[in-house]
Amino acid sequence: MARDAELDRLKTAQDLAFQRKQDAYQVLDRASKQRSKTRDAQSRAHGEKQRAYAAQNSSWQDYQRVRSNNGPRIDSLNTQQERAYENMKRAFDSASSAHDRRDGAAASSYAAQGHASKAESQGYVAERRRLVQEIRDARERHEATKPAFARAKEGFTAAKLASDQAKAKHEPAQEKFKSAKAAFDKTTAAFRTRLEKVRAESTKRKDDKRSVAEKAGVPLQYRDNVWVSKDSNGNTNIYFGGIGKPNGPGHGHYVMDRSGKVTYKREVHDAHGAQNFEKSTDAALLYTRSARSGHLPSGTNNHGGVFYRRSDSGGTALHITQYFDDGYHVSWDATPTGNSNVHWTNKNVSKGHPDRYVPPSDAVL
Amino acid sequence: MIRKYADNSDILEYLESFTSSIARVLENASTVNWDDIAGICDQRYYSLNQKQNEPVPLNTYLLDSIYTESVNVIEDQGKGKTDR
Repeated sequence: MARDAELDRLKTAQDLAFQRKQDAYQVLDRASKQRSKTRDAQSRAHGEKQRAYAAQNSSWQDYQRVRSNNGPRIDSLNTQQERAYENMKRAFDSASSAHDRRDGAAASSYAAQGHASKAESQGYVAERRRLVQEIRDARERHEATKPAFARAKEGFTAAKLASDQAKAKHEPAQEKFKSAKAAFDKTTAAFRTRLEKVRAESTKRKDDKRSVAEKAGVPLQYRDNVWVSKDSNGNTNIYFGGIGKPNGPGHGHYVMDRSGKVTYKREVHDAHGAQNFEKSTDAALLYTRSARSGHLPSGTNNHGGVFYRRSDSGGTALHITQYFDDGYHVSWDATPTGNSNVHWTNKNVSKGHPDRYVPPSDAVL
Repeated sequence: MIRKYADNSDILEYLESFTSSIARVLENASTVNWDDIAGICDQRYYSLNQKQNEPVPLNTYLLDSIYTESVNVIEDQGKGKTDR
């Protein structure tokens, strides 16, 4: 299949679009992983905060319970201790008065009452102290949970910020990838469409060449692989059966004029020569194979309407020139008995250069 | 000029190079068949340099044909018959 510039351009565009899609995917992949990582971190920080809050809340509830349990009892103990203290004071006052009255028994009785009230009061005080300490301990336990909760809250805030930043990068990367993928899909579709078209055209060209080969009567086994070219005179040259390629060494060569008439036939591996020309009563032009085995001529020119004239000074009226795209030029005079005055010119070098008239390495004339 | 220097192989060789270059530049865009003119010069100059054979005569028949055809085209253009 011959090269198609538009197909090459579309392939290049497709390759570029593919690379951009890959690049966008790399960015998206990194952003996805980062977002996932920060989301996990946020989740862990949230769990930590919840646990710290639960601990703080639990200690607070405990503190409140101890307060509500111990508070009324402390108030009661205060009242009772106040009463016991008053009793103790009255008893000791009464004992002192009895002592003054020299009533020893009464004084002793009142003193015993006083001591009992004192002991009772001290008991109330001790219990009250214990209850107050319980409240204090509960409060301290609650206070101790506060720093952990504060840290967990800060940790969560930071993790959420990182997660939000990762999300802000991830979402545009998703859009860019989607866009790059759509562009790639579009270039792929355009390339495939063009490829189908080029293949169809190539098949048609092959069919056309096959049709030309069939019309010229090229042997069946070569018809699917021919090289067809038209020269400046409108003649169609058909090459086939060469080694490696249709116009390779040993190729066959048919020539068809404008009207579709075959004027020259040389089969594969046949020798060159006048015997290959189709007989004609009209003045004929000489159709030739390439004077080089590795190059087809860019153009062929020949002038002279008569193949050979004996009536002139001994020269021939038929002069042929072939020129090639690498600057070589060959000319000769053709007769039915052979070629004469064959001369090569290398147009890439000037007159006087030693290589000017040296034939190329693949010259067959 | 070709007729004037029909026996001068150097000038004819120069003219062959010159006219074949014009032919390659113009290809089919010219009224004049420059390839034919180059071929006339080429055929004559090369044969002049071959000592073993008589030189091939200058193809004046073809030169005249080219000249006549060019004149006809110019005249036709003047009459508006052709857009070449």
